[in-house]
Amino acid sequence: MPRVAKAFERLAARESARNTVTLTIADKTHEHTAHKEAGAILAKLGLAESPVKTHIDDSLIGGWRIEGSEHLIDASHKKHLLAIYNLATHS
Amino acid sequence: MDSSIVEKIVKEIEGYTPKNESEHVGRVTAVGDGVVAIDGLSKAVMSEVVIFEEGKGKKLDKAMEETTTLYGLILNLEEDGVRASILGDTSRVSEGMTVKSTGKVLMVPSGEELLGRVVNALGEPIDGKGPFKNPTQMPVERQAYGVIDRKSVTVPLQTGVKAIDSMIPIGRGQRELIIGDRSTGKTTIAIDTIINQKNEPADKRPICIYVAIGQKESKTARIMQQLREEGALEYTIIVDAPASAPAALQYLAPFAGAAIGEYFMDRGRDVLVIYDDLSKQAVAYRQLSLLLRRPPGREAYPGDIFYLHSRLLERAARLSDEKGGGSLTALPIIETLEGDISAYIPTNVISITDGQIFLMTDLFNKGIRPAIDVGNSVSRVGSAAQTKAMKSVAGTLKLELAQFRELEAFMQFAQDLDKATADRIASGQRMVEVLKQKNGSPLPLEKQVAVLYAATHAFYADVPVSKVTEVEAQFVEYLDGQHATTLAEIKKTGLVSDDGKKELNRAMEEFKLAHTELFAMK
Repeated sequence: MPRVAKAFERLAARESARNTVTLTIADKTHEHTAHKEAGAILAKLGLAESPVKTHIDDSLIGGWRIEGSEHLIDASHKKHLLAIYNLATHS
Repeated sequence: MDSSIVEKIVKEIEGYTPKNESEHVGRVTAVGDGVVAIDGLSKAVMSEVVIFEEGKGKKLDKAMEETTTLYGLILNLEEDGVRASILGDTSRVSEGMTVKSTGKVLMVPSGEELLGRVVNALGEPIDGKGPFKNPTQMPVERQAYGVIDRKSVTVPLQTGVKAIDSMIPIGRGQRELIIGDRSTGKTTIAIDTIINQKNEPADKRPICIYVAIGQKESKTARIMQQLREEGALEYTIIVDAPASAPAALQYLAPFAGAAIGEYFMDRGRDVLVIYDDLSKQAVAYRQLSLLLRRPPGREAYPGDIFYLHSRLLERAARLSDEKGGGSLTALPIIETLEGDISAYIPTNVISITDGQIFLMTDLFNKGIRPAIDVGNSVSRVGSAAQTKAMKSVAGTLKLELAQFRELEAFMQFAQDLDKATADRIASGQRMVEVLKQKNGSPLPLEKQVAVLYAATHAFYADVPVSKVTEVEAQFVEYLDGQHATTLAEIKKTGLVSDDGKKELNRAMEEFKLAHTELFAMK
C-alpha cells in the first residue's frame, strides 16, 4: 500500500508540474507588466485558468518567460540578445 | 573594433524582429547512457529532432560560450512522454532541463562542397577546414525509390581488383556485401575500389562516400591519408562515427552517408557508398534499443534489426532516365566471427544484398590476397553489368578455379596424378597467382583484361609458380609501353576485337622472346 500511495503521489506531482505555469521574470519591478503581457498570451493558448507560479531569475536581464503545459514563450532580453549574437557571429 | 564588424552588428540589430512565439516543450525526467526520458512533447513525431536548452539559468556571457547546440533524436513515443537519444555529449544534459521540439526530422548537409571533407554522423565538418557555406539539407531517413523509378543494373562499377571484376562483377546501383573475419582485407577491397575510380573519366566517375562506423580514429585517419596520397580524396566524402562516438551517432552514420549520396544520385550522378561496418552499427543499435527498453530478440538484438539494414540498403538504386539516371551502389561490410556466415546479422545482410564477397582467414594466411573464397562469393546482378571484354576472358574462370580447389586436395599425392589432372592443378596454381594483388594497387579494366587473356591462353604455363606475379607485373609494364594503343582500344570499346586478340597474342610472343629466362623452367 505505501508503494501504491507513493506512486500516486508521484503521478500527482507530475500532473501538477505539467499544469502549473511558471512565469520567470528578471526582477520584481517588472512583475506587473510581465503578468499583464503573459496573461494575454496564456489566454490565447487557453491556459488562462492555469495556476501561475512566479519565479525570479536575474540571468534573464529583462523581459519574461513563461513555461508550462508543454508551452514555452521566451520574451526575455537574454534570449533576444543571444539571437542577435548568434546572427552576427554565425552568418 | 573593426568598423565592418560594428556595421554588421548594427545591421543585425536593426534587422532583428523579436518574436515571442510559443514553443512546444518537454522536460527531462531521467538521463543516462546517451538516452533521455522526456515528460511532455505529446505532439512530437518519431525521428523528430529536439533541442536541449542548456542556457536556462546561465548568465548571458556563459550562455554565449555555448558554441554548439545539443540535439536529441526521438526514438520512442510513450504514453506519458518520449524517449530520445542524445546526439552529442550526455554529460551536458541534466534532469529538469527543458527540451524544445523542432518539428523537423533529422537532416544532414550535402553538396559539392562536401567532396574531400570529413564529417560526423550529423554532417558537421570535423576536419578543421571550416563550416560549409551553402549545403543542401537531405533527410537522414527517407523512403527508398520504388520499382517504377528504377531501372536494371547494366553499368559496371570497376573495383580494380582482378578477382572481383572478373568473377564477382559489381554493377552501379547494386548492393554487394563484403564479409569476412577480422583482418582479412575487407576495408582494403573497399578502399582499393575508391582509389580505382580515378581511372574512370571525370564525368562518369562515381562520387565515393566512406562511412566509418565504430572504427578506431587512427584507422580512419590512415585511410584519409591514403586516399589523399592516391589523389582519391577529391571525389570522396568520409563520414566518421568512431568507436568513441555515442551509440546514436554510430547508428545514424550509415543513414547519413546514404542521405549525402542521394543528393548526388538525385542529380544524375553515380555514387558509391561503403558502410564499414554494419556489424558495429547493429551492435550500436542493440545498445540503444536495450536502453530504450525495447524488447530484446535473438542475440538481444531488437525485433526491427532486419528492417534497420533492409531500409538502409534499399536506398541503393539505379534510377530510371526520367529520374535522371543516377545510381547509388552500396558496399556494406560485415565482420564475422570464426568465419561463421550463418550468424544472425551476416545471414540478414546476405539475404538483403545482391551478392557477397566472402573473405577467408585461411586464404589470407596462405598469402592469397585478396583472400576471396570464390566458391562462397557471388554477384547476383553484376554479370549483366560486366563488360564484354571481361566476359570474353573470364567466362570460365570461376568454374576452373572451383575445379582447381577440388583437385587441390589431391596435390599431396602428386606422383599418382594423371597428366590431365596435373595440368589442371598447374594451371589453377598459376591462375591463383595471377589473381593475387597487393593492397592499394587496383588495376584498370584494360590491363586486367590483358592479364587474364594471357592467363587463359597458357601464357604462364612455362613460368614457375613463384615467378608468376613478377612476370605478370613485367608483362603489364611491357603492354603499357609497347602496346598502349591495344589497351586504349579495350578501354574505349569495352571489347577485345579480333584485331585486339591478334595484338595481344603478338605481345605475348614478343614478351616471351624478350624474356626467355623467365619462361625457361616448368
